[in-house]
Amino acid sequence: MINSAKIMDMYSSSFSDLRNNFIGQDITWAKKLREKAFEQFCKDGIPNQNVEEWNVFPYRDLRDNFFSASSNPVDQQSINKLNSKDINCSIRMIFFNGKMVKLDIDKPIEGLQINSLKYFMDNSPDLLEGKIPDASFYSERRLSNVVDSRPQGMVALNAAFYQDGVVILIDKNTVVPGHIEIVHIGDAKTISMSPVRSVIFLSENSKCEVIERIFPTCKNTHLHLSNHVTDIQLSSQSSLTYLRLVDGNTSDIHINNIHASLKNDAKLYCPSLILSCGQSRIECRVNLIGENSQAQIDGLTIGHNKSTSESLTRVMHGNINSSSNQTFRTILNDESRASFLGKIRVEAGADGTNADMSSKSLLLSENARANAKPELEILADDVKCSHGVTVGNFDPEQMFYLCSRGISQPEAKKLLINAFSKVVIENLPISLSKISEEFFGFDNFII
Amino acid sequence: MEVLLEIEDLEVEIEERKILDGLSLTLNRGEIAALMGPNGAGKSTLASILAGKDNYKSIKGSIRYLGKDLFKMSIEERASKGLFLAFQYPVEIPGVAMSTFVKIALNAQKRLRGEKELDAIEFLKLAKIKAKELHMSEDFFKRPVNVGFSGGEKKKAEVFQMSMLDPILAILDETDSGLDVDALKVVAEGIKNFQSKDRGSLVITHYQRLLNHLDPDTVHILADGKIVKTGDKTLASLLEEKGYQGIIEAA
Repeated sequence: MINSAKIMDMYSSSFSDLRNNFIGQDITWAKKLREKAFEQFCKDGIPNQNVEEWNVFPYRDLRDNFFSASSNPVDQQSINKLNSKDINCSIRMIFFNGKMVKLDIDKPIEGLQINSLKYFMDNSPDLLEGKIPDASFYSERRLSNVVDSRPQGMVALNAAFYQDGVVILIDKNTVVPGHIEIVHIGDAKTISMSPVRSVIFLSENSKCEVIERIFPTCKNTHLHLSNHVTDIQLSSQSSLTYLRLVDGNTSDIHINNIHASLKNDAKLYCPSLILSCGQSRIECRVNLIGENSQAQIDGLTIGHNKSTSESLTRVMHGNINSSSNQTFRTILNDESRASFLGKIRVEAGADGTNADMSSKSLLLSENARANAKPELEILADDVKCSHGVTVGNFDPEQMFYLCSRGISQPEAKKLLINAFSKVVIENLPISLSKISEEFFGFDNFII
Repeated sequence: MEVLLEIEDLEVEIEERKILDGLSLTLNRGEIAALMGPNGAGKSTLASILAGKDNYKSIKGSIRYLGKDLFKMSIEERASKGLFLAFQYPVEIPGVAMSTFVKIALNAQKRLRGEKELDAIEFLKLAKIKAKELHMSEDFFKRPVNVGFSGGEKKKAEVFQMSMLDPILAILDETDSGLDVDALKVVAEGIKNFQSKDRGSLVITHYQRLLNHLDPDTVHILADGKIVKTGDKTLASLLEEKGYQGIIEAA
């Protein structure tokens, strides 16, 4: 047994208590998936540092505590405090402690079905069948071809305990106007978790932009774990932009698992912007199973205090002429830590693959640390793959050059930070780059 | 004639090596002075020390700029008081557009001097005029600072910055090296346009070519960390003839 027995017992009794109240328990396939996920969680537990994907940071808070599925009453005040939705935002969903409390739609959009997972489970579960994979589906395949489920303990925990989530289903040839915004807020009156399970499905030739914003929990007295799993399926020629904005305070732990599979000519753009004061971990797995499919996975992290932020990517090229690009930039203040674990795997026969991965970290303090591990597994012959990783401070030559033109030191640093983050920000569509500027709260973030 | 720059007995040690050893030099308003010398004589060290680089182990002597102690001024303060260094190796800054860089620099200097800053339109108007004078296309405004610039473009960009920032003392560190004949002419024009009775130029160079265009008032020869000979422009021709060794031995 990996975890301390007592904590696992608490998860077991919590699962028994909630068993009859979980959503989808009257649906055979959903119930089966949940039971199976819980079995797997009991077997593997929360990943420890012996698991390769989890060996950089100790995640002690995660392992040494029992997180009960939150049942705190909805705090209407904190919902009212949210700004009204952006002009480009056509639909907004608000989640409180992992459950949807508000769905705000200007007018119905033909070809789009959007609601909470609970709503779909209660009303039309058939639409979901086959769109939520088995927990073992996420297992890590080692170079030796051994399949290892241990890194996915958090997905199993989510799959066992999820109470709600986002479902977005888009019909053929539908272009959703503006963007869809999903907002997560919550509080932590006890040590608790919000397991959110989401499904995004785009049919042929459809297009959509989604922003998911995770706010820091208020009433910051206890640890809060937001454990999100998002399954994305992109049919031929569909295109999804999926932006995540994660902001946390010191007692917040964010674990996000994104899993996407792309068919022929499908496109995924998946940037994550993280302002970290607590602990965050974003895992992004992309399967390029279609010809000419394209994925762009970006990350921009600004770390403060003693925060830890980890980004893990697994991009699998499984067909001809697919391309992927990963651009990660990290700026670390104080005693913050960051880690990038990136992998590109090109399967045998996936000729014409074009894959690029870059991770750069800028350390603004002597006590900040960055870690990076880029990996390439290439089993095909005709492939273009590259990777680059740097960790460093401000370049003294650049600083001298800027100051020698009359620019003050703080202004020169700001200019260099902007320049450093720019490669990530400039990829964003204009409407979203404005939101991200506000998010980071810099004036003149992009110059 | 008012003294612009006065260096006395400058001694600079970098990494256990004495680079400058008792260097004295005076530059007046209205003067173009050429500073020549063999490789490793300390010319670029002098230029970077004047601009405010502090990579030395120890420094002795005094430098007065506009009558004030230069050592007491920060890098940006020197710039705002009109001291400009055209770098021998201009630094690349990916992600910062040339026009953004120059606009921020110009307005930062204006702010330090308590002058009114230029807005985007005023700035662009001025930049277009200056770029045209240097036969530079306007696309380079949008390009990241010095990234992917050819050797000649980098040097022209330095002269462009000089003409935009409008300094009082220009120190040009081998701005002529790596230039073709036409580019050399343009750069020389840029320096000549800048020069006036109120301003001074210290031109560091290896070649007489640039000096033929510029017509310097004085020529200093720097060797072994000090000025070994000072003369008028005929000294440069003499140098071409006899080489540094000949001049240094005679001195």
